[in-house]
Amino acid sequence: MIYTHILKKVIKPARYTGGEYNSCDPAKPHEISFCFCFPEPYEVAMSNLGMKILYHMLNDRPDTVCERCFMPWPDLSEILIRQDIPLFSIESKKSLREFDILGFSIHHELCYTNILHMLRLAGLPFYARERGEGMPLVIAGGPCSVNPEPYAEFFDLIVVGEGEECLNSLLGLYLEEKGDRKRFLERAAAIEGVYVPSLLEVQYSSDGTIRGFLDPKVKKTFVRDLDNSYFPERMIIPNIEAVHDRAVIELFRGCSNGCRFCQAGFATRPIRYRSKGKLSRQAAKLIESTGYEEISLSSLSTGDYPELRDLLDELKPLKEKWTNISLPSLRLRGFYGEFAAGSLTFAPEAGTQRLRDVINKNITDEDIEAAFKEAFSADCSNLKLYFMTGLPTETMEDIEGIAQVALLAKRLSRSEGKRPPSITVSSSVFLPKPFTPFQWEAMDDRQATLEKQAYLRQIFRKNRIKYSYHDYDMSRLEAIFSRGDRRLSEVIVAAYRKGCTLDSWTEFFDAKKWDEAFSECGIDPGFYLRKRPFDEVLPWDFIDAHISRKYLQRECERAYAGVTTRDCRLGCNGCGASAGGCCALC
Amino acid sequence: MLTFRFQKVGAAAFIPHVNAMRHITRAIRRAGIEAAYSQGFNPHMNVYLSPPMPLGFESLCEYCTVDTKTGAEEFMRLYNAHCLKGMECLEAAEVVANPNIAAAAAAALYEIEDPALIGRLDELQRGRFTVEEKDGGAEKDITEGVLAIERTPRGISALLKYGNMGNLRIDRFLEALARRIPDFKPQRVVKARLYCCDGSGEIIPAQQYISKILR
Repeated sequence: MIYTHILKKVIKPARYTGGEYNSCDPAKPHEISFCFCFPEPYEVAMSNLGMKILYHMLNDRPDTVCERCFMPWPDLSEILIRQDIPLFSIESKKSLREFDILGFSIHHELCYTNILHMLRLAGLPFYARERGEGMPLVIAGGPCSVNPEPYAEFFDLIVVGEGEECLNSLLGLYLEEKGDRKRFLERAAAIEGVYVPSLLEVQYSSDGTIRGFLDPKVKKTFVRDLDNSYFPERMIIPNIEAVHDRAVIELFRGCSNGCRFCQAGFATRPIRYRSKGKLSRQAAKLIESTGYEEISLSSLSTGDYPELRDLLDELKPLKEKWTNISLPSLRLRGFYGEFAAGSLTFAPEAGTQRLRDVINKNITDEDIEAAFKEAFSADCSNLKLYFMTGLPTETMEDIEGIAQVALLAKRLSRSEGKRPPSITVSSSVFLPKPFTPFQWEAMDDRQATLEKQAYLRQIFRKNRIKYSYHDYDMSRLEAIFSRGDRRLSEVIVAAYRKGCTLDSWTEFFDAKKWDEAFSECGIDPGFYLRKRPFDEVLPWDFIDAHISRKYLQRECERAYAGVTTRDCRLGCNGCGASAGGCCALC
Repeated sequence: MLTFRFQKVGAAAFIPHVNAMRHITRAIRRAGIEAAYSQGFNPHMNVYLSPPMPLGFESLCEYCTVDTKTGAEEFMRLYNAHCLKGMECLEAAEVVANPNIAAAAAAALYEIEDPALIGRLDELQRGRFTVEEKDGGAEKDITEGVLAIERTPRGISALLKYGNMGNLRIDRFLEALARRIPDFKPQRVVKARLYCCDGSGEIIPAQQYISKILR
């Protein structure tokens, strides 16, 4: 085997060996060689549903071979650099430079330096403008593409939205224009969802804000007919356990709840369902082709799938074959008690009814109490509660409310007369995200955040409740990049040159180096964390995500008035996502 | 119940023991082979593996026992059609009870290919084998773990203690060889045979040990 001598020197060598069950045959005759690059290590990358879909979709094309390459762990990186070995794909161990197209999936703001690291290890320049003919086309997609500006200049093109249909169009065009990158990019820009950063000119005002854009809008692409869209009948079985090591079916895309902080809930609209018949067939095929012992029913809010009860009935034969069915992302109201056995996670998000109304969580104190009672009367042995601090309009009363909700859970867990389950509270820091009603909001400052976390830590320690919270500095960096513009690309480069990689891993994150990078580039991070007026041009305003800006503003105003907005299933709220003509609820 | 010998070669040699077990159970599930599961809150397939070996070393003699009524021949055919490449079943036998190879394993025979070893058998059989302690510094004598060394056409074979009754890891033995033979650079190392300790204390080949409880 190639590189055996290297593999014996690194931890978890199975991350790089390939040969997994259901992985592709790279020797298949092909016209396009595509490498799916995921800027996180193997265990995270192999859990990603987008990768599972696109990898098999591309390999099912007769003209394409799609291989994989993930962010190497530092031990392997060091060896590759020292021995001058270019970063290679998992399947054929081919150098990344030899591929026609490198497709990065960008799922998190803290993986931006990992992109640079992978490009460097591949021997490729960081900026698209520095790469020429004879080098692979480097493209990107994934959830962060709703505001791709901070990393835009590293890529030749970026797919904004869902990749399935757009990627097939792009590959068709690539075959037509192979060898003429400039012409390919010009023509690609006409495909729905394709953003070519080199074709967009951004104009700035003297105060540093954006004055406007010189280019037509980029429209987010999405699959119109989800029920008949591509979904793989097989999935790669990872060599070593992945974070989510199980089969997955995807119930629907979009979310009708309208939680005002949630980017995924808005950015993945319109709401489209898969039929239960198709889902149960997909589930049976996947279990047969993978041998997995568990299948996850994935979506942003699984309990909202209209035919969930019927679907669960159809999946009963799988349970008889020793297959667990997991329902992640259940909401507090109307969750399925029979799935409460073992570990259960609820996300009240805020501690008081007032603040839950501000964020449009649409659950009441009664809902919370009822859900706790149902969970504890079943065999829930581990209850996890998720909250956020720093939400707009938050006061210390809301923070005290978080403690009260957790203490209520603790009280109720005892009253059932069973062994009390373990209760874990986790709090993240609210980050204002593009294409949400809170996209104009400021992020809480460090002092305030630390005080709130200290307050909760003290209460939970006293009451013997486990408490974990997100690191403020990591959250701050994520907030900067999520609402950043393309001037931040030089900060990413500067931080990488200082040694920043794997920034979402606490053991590697170094806030000091990032501060130095901002300072060296003369960029004030506070500029990106501030509250923005409604009339300011935002860096992602050239993207049409099928969510009306007026709707988002109205939702923000309703938040400050403490007025909730109904679930879309109770009637259309006019967010704009129905313009594509395929919102299942409109 | 059925005990089978499988290989762990190529990329599969880098799969850790606990993950290898998952690959086997998933292959059995894919193959549609009926197997018994444990009872309780989190049922799992009843499979039992021979002791783990260090990552990255190939083996032709890993053993697994699975609680199934499927016949040996049928099992091999179905399993091999659905297993991970490099983890194929090489032989299978129906047994009346779990032979518990993990507990009975006593020695493993490794074939070590390296031209530098050829002609040095006498020297190797005479001297002592030492390695550096893991925390650095002190020297540790591991000779006790070396049961036998023989000549092979491409190098040597070494019978090392293996399992609960004493264990000399192959990577440690290779370290010891490297200390004694400066130009030692093994081209291939493979665990070729496993030995078990029977009730009388005798060390016998695993196949022979299993044959005592054939169905």
